[in-house]
This record gives sequence, C-alpha cells and structure tokens, in this order.
Amino acid sequence: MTGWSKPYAFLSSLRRIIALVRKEFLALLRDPKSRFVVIGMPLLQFFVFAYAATFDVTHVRYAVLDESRTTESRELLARIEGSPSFRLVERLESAGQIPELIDTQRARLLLHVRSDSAECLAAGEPAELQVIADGRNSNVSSVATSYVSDIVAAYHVRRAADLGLPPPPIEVIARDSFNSTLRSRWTIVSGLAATIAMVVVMLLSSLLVAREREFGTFDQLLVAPFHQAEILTGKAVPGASLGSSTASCSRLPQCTGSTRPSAAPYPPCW
Amino acid sequence: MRLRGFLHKEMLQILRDPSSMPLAVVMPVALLFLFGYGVSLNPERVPIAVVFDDSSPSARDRLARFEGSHFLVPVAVRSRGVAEELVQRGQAAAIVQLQDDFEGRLLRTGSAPLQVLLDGVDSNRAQLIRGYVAAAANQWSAVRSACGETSTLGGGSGGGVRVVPRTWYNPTGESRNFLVPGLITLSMTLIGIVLTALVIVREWERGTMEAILATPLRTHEFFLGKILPYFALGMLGLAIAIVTGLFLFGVPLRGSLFLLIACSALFLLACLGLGLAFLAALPSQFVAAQASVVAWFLPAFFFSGMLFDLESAPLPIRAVSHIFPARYFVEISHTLFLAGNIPAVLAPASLALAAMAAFFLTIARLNVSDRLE
Repeated sequence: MTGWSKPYAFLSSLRRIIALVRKEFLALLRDPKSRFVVIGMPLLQFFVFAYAATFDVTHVRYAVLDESRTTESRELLARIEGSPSFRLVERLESAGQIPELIDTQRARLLLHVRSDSAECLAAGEPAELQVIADGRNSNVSSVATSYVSDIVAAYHVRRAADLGLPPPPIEVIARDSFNSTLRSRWTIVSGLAATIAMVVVMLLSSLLVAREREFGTFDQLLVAPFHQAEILTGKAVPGASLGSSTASCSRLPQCTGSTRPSAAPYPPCW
Repeated sequence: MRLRGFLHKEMLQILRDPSSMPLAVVMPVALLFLFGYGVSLNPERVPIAVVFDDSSPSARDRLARFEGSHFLVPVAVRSRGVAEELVQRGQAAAIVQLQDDFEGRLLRTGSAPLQVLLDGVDSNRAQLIRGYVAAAANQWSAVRSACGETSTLGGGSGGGVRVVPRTWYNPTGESRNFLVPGLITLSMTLIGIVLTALVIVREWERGTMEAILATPLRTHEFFLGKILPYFALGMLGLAIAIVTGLFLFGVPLRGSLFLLIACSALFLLACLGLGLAFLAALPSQFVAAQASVVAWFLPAFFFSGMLFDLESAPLPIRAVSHIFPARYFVEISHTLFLAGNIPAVLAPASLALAAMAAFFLTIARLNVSDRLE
C-alpha cells in the first residue's frame, strides 16, 4: 500500500468504498428480517416508548376529607377538582379512614381540611391544609404535592385580591424556559432518539460482520482488493447513515404542529 | 433418578459456563449500583443563578435564605445576561431575579414579585426545583412575618392557607427507595427470561439437543430439569439484590420477607415460563437475545411502573401493561418494601402472577412436547 500519495489512488479507494457501501446496503435492505430490524423496530420502539415514558403527572386519584365544610374550603377544593392533574375519587367522613385509603392505593393523595380552618382564616391566622401523599412512587408524590402548593398559592392571590387584603409578601412568578409547559415528553423523546439510534447502530454493525462470518463470506472480503481501512469504512457507513436517519426521523413528530417549542427561550416576566 | 442426572448435568453446565453465573450474580448487583448511585430523581445542591442588581439588605437576606437550603446553591451574578449564559452552558438550573427596587416595593405595597426562570430541558427536574425555590421564598416570608416586619406592613400572609405535606412510606421522598425495589424486578426479568431463552436455544444451535433426545429422559423430566436450575439461579440473584438493597442502599423492608420471597418465586416462574414458551423456539442465540431484550426486557422497564408512572400514561399503554408480569411484581415489590403487608394490593397482584405463571408454563410445556416428539 502506497497510502494516498497519488490522487488517483485516493479516487480508486473511494470507488472501492462506495462499491462496498452499496453492497452492504443491498444486503441489509433486501433481507426482510434485517429490514425489520433496521426500520420497523426502531420506529415501533420509538412510538411505544415515547408514549409510555412520561414523568408528567396527570389524573392523580385523590380523596378529600373536608371537616370544615365552609365556603372557603369548598372554593379551594373546587380549584383542585378543576385541575386536569387530579381526579377526585372519594370523599371521606373521618380521619380514621385515611390509612386504609392510602394503604390500598384507592387514592394516592389525600387533602385534609381541618374543622377549625374557617375560624383560623377569619382570625387572620394561617389555616392548615394537610396533604398526605403515597410515597411508593416518590416522583409522583413530590410532583403532585407541588401542584397542590401551586394551586393553593394561586388561591391565595385571588382571595387576597377579592377581600382587598394585601397580597402575600413575595409572589413567586415562575416561567420555564425551553419547555414552557414542562412536558416531560420533550425531554424524554429527544433523549430517546439518541438511545434508539445507538442501539440500531450497534445492532447493525454486529449484524453486518457476524452475518459475513456466519455465511463464510468474510474470508472472501478479506481476499478482495480492499485495504483494511476501506473494509472498516464500508462497514461503518451503512450503520452510521441508517442510525442518523433513525435519529432524525424520530425528531419529526416533535417538530410538527402545535408541539413545536416556543421561539422565545426566555419568556418575559414583567 | 434420570431427573437427578439431568439436573446434575444442568448444574454443571451453569457452573462451568463462563457467562451464566456472572449474569445471575454480577448483573443484579451492577444494575443496582448503576441505578442506585447513578440515577436519582431528587435534584440536590442545584446551582441557581441569582441576579443581584439590588444590593439592599433584604435582597442579601434572600440570598442567604437560599444558601441555607440543602437543595439549592445560589451563585450571585451581576446581570441577567450572565445568568442566561450560565443556564445555556448548563452551569445553572434556574435564574432567580429580583425586580429593581425589590425592597422599596416590598415596603411600600407589602408585596413584591420574584421571578424564577427554570431550565425546562429536563422537565421533571425543573418541576422539582420550582418547588424548592417556592419553599425557600415561603420560608423567607414566614421568617419576616415572625420578625414582625411584614405584619407592620399590613397583614402580610395572615389568613392564608398553609400546605402541610406529608409523604407516607417515604417521608424524605428519597427516589432511591422507589427505584431499588423496581430494579429487583428488572434484574429478575433478566435472569428469568434472557438466560433461559439463551440456554435452550444454545442447546438447539449446538446440536446437543439431539444428544438429549437420544437419552431415555422423559419430556416432563427435561422440562423440570431446565426450570429448576434457573429457578435456583434466579432466587440467588434475588437474594443478592435484596441484601444489597437493604444493607447498602438502606431501603426499608416493611412487609414480610417471606411474602417477598414467595411473590418473587411466582414472578420468576412466570418469567421462566415466558422465556421457555416464546423464546426457546427461536432459531439462533443472536435472535433470541434480540427478541428477549426488545420484547420483554424493555417493556419490563417502560411498562412496569418501576420508573415511569403508569397511571399518568395514555390508556392504550396502561392496557398493554397488564400483559407483562413485571407490572404486577413492581406493585408488589413497592408495597412490600415501603408500605408493608397490605392484602388489598398484594392479593390481586400475586393472583395475577400465579395465573400468568400457570399459563406460560403450560404453553411452554406443550411447546416442549411438540418439539421433542
């Protein structure tokens, strides 16, 4: 081998690589089984896992124990009931029912309004809203609890405005950049594309070499007028190109229609 | 007698095979280490950029309040531009900005807004960090009103509703307590399905199945002889995973150990049945490995609720999840580890596992006799 000293040596090497790449693509795409491995499986996995893998917390089954039964407690609880993140499944009568409710997973969240809440509110003291969460899934419990806090904070601001009271000293105004509604799907899908592409590439390259070995054609390849680097390149290109097209295809559903990320990464606040 | 001989052969094969034992012993531990230490859903010591164009005492006090938090590490920056750059480089997860004249506004109107900009690239993390910042802000208000500062400003937070959260079974919300019981499911799936499928397929591939067929071994003896050693191997993997989880990661076991072992045995039988029923008939080890990973291992990860909450998933996904035994075992494992012996959760799930084990083992048994005769 004389290396790339002459221009035509480079060109003919390129020609050989192209021929090998073409052969590999034909071998891959003409076999229905490997066609499925290359095209069908990643797409299938992508769609199924993109729907299954979610950290969004929705439809949390919750129960209420309202010992106060006043307009205020009803108004606050109605706000939570109206949220799409929660689904009311039960109204409890006494605190004794709580352990059984959470233990048996009939509800994953319990909101407990104490009987003295209205008096506390009237007296200008803080009323407690007890939130009991099922910590078996720690992520759901912490996210659901923070949703309740957000709803209560919004209730505060509204109530203060209605009654002409001064608003709470510090109003936290939170905005989420890059992903304004904090959809976990956006986070996960962009990672999933990379993971699935990685699996495809690994599978393909092992398939390409293993199959040649199995059929005994690898030796033929070795005696063909190929430099080692050319064989390596020829074997790597189909995997790399199919892997990157898998990764780009998986970005398509994300970038179309209403789910496109907002143009302004840092939304203005005031 | 014949069964004993066959069992002996299988045991020797497992012990002498360089891949079976490591897969059964090293894999569960490696998975636990990887997930136990590597994956945490609790953001801790999160760097946040605090834009500090107001150097009043109150604003300094605010910064100190964030510093006091175990979860947040404030970095004071001079301008919004610098803060945005920090977020883009991934060196800060959020920007906290006080409006100009924060102090003045607080004193005049008794209320001032505090802007929090979160890096939504990791949505779950952003959600939790928002909660931390809000908690730090509330704490600060509480301290100020306790000092009588805000009350002199006219009521302040008085008359509000205070959320008192309690998380049962996992009071600190430690994600490790949630992940480790789920991981036990994952490693047992690996042993139960992948290993058995590979071994039987190997027997066909290498042509040693013919040798077994030539012996006077009965079909049911062959079947038992294939199941028992891998069952033992799976239980060994389980024991290692439980011990690691309990003593290294400090996950509590509040239910009974006996129930956990019994349910694991059911789960393992279902997995073995699955492996024998559907994967043992595949043509080569390569295909069997692919199929078991794609068809059973990944679903055990995504459809079982061990990481992603099933109840928040769309309806079709929830429906599909019912056909995977992993889903039931994750439920059992979470409940037994964290909550305790709760028949209302355990009974239906273990019944489902038992039914699945019986169903898959029957299919496997029929398949084996079909192929052997």
